Amino acid sequence: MLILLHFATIGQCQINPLLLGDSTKNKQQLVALTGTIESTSTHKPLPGAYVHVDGLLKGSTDEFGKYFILLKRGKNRVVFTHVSMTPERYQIEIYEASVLNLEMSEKVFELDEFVVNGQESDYHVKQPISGTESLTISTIRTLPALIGEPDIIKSLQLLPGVTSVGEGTAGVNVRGGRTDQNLMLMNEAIVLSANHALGFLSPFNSDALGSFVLYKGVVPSNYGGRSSSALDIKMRQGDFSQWNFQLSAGSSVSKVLVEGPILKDKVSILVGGRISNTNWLLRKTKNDNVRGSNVSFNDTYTSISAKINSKNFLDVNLLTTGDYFRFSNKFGYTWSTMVTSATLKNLITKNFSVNTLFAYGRLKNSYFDISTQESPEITNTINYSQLKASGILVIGENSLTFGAETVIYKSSPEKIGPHSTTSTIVPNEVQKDSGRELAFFVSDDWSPLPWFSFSAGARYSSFSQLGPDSVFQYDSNKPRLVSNIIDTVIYTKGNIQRYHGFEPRLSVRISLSKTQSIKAGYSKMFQYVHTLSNTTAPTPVDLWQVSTTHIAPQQSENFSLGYFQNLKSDKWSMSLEGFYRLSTHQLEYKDFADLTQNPHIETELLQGLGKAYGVEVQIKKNRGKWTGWLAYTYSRAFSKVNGDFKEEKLNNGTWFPSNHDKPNVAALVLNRKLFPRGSFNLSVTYSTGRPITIIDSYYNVNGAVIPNYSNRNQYRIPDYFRVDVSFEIASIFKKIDDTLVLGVYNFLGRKNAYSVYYERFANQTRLVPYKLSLLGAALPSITYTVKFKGKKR
Amino acid sequence: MVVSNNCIEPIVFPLDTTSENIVIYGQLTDADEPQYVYIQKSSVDQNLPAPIRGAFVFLVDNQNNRYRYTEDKAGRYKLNNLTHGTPGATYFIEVTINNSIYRSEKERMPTTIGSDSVSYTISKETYESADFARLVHRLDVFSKSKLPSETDYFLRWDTNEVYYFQMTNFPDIFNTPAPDCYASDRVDPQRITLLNGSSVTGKSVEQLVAQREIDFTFLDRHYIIVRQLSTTRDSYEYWSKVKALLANTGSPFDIPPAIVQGNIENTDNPNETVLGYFETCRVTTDQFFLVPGYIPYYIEPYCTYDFQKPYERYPAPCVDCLALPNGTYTKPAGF
Repeated sequence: MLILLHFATIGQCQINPLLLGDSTKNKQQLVALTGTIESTSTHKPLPGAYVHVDGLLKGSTDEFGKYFILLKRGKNRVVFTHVSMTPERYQIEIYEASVLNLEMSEKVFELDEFVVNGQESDYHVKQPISGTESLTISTIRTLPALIGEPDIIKSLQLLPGVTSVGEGTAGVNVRGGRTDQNLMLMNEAIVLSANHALGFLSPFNSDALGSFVLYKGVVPSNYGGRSSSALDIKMRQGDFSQWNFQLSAGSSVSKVLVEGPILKDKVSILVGGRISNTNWLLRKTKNDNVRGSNVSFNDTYTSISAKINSKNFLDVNLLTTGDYFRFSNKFGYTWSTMVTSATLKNLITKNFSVNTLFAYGRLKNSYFDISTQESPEITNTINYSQLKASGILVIGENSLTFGAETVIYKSSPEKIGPHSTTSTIVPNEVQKDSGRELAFFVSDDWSPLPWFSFSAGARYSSFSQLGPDSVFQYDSNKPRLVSNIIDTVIYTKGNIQRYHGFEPRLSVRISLSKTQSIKAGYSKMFQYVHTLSNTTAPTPVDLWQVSTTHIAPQQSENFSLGYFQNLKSDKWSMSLEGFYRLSTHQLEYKDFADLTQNPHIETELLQGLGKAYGVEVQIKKNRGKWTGWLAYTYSRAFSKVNGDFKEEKLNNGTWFPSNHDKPNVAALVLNRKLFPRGSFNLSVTYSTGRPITIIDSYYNVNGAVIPNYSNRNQYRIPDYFRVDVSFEIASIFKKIDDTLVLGVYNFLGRKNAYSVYYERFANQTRLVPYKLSLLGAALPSITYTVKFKGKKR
Repeated sequence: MVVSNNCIEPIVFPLDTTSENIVIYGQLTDADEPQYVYIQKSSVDQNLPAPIRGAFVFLVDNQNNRYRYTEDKAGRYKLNNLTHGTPGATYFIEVTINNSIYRSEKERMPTTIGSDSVSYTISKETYESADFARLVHRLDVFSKSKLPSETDYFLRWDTNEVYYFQMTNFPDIFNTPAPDCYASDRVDPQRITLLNGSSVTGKSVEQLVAQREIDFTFLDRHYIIVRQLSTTRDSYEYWSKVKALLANTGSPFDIPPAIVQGNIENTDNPNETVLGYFETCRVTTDQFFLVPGYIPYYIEPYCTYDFQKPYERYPAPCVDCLALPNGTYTKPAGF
């Protein structure tokens, strides 16, 4: 039964009140609402539309445009959203299972309707888990981008609590965490490295991006294995009804995307690819070294989605990236990533569904030095297999999630060999460690009272270092040095060392009113794999290292408390969050650590404490002529390594700033819709300079003038400030679905310091410090994209 | 594209001027030669490190014999009553500065050492800077070393020079010649040449150990002396870190630089950063000399008398031998 009562308008949004069912007949607490969503213009089912209930995402439409959600008896606020459709809002009073079919119209550029947040405007107020962030793909696309290519990782850095070491560095630092402490998932499959295009892009093609959520505070228990945050990225499925073709040509990146039905309404495919075209710019420079350099990258994403029957669905995905960088005739890197996954979704009953994922990934990188006659090339490869099964059971007001996950990491031996036929290096291999992670998880989301809800969960995780391997035994009364090895134990197979731990997760929301809430969270997390990178910034050749007998897992305890408020009918929203994180067994490196071709890598590592704390403020304008946000974060991140021996202390065992400690970070993002088919975008970022270690004095030893460096991270590079602008205009040519994006990155041409390096003049013994700015000028970009839509099959 | 837009500018940091550290460097060899310990303070500004005077310095051997060093030059302390160390014996030094006692770890003088045969080449090289390019003649010094038969050894090469310097002959009524002037110095001290016995397979190795521009100091007999030092593992690791530091340019992809910890500490305050090292070494030397006739290029005279030239316009070493690095009027041994 469906009775349409009347229309009402609140603010700028039309709300459609509905009464569904007879309130006297059914006393069940939860009742089902289902239906089909179609496009107004095409009258075809609309897959990928989201259904939000009282501010929370509750479901989405399948490839047939069908949705199924459970609502509590009584009044519910239900909003249907889609990336390219105008949201439909309903005030539904429901008492028995009902069907609601609706049509959504294509989004037009109306000055007052542009919504920045992908979720509902009051998402932050209603969402029970603190410290979550998300952006819509349309928002990411509007942000001015470095080489004209929108990127999820770079966009994240405009959100509070998310920073990076600098331009051209891959990954993000979330709430004081290291880059390897972020769990990065693509369709639930682990992606180990975001290092792509020399760190200027991530592997995720924005054209194939569906949605994402960044959990920077409390990470739900179905995610684990990293000690800082989780980034859950959902890629898009191909179109089930028609073939679409998209082509972009840019000054630095060109890309293509094809999607469509292989079997109409049954099987769809999406294939996207990007390739660099930057070398012509290198040839324009005056510097011989730069002119003689070479940089190239490419990536592909393929997705095949199949509906086996009305209750079973299968998704198969493949992501590949390839990168090559050579600096003059001196050195270079090659690296590649491959992640493939298959996900089977089974709807067992209306209240119970099961997801089963199998994924396989490989990360391979090489470093070559062509400046010497030895001309060595060092290659590392890590392979991993992931199996995850999870179920969601809805009982009354509870939504119970449970499951198990295992990941096997297997590293190939680190190889050193000749890079060219004239190389004189003697080939060698160093065995690397392997291990298996196993976890069980359960969580419950419950809203017992309208003003109170919580998400409580637990994860029990374990890790086993697997043979075959050789384990060095060190004299426990002496520092861990090669010279203090007293024995070697050889394991041919099986478990060598096992770690395990219990990881509680809890987040509580208390609503002070319909527009205000307070949230508090606590989580404990274990991390069993780590990157080994003895450099300030992540490099393409960072090694992944599993926990071993001598490398304990990292642990973190995270606390957060936040206040959230929406104003003026959700036109404005603001948040204030504080966090504190304490980590143990955080990896640091001994001075002058040598991580390559080292069979006793543990002698170069130190493990200590880490702590981070801070306050994040965000003010966001969700609707109006101008939309955007202002984010400010004050945070600190410190490390402390105070071992038993002099060789196992850093900075005399005191707390010192981490590489990514940036106390003040601010970002301003503004978007102005220009009627009828354009938009102007501005982003401004500021941050305190990152810590560095510099030469602070000199001394003579045996005639050599030796630079004496400061304590680790005692100084800072100058503060960072950047303004980017972009202008997007649609429908350049009539009857063609096209877009032109003009952007200027670093609009003010500011020479922000990327690093400080030293140079010695011909006869001088002292080094002169120089500030290196990767971008020393304004960097314009232009990208033209055209889309073609085929006929419906 | 990114690199093409990069930009490099000098930068000045407000340095922590309280970060001066005590530097102690000593070397005890098995050769009959003066044995020194140098004590200084690291220099925050552009000045030379300041010598520390008035320290009490002792060498202590494994028999607990104590040998006193005495200061013969600002910050330089010369060992008394002992001309050389004994291979296989263990030594450490103890330094007292303003009531603080600094003590090195014990170093055992190695027993193995190889031998060298040195050679050289002379070539042209252009030094380029942002402002100008300059053609120079360069001396490359090579050492072909016969390595010890064992594998557990650590070698380092130092190159020194000793030369005669012809000062300006100013005419006088007695026709008095300019005094004899000699000078000595390290050659290419920023080049650290190291070898770990466990990393080589052959029994000999040839390597470049020093480079030097050919200048006015080659206008007369110029000795090049290559010293092969057999050191301890700890000393080798210390110098490996120094070498890494000297090669480091601070790029984000470099190994992060750090303080090079030596083997000397303040006995009352182990947290005090004490720079430098005390090492014991076996030494062998090989040498060659050059005279202008060996050098296939013309070297511009430096101290030629010109009656029109005022005395004060002559380069300092032409009128004062002590203006040369380690200049002396005393003829060195072997000259």
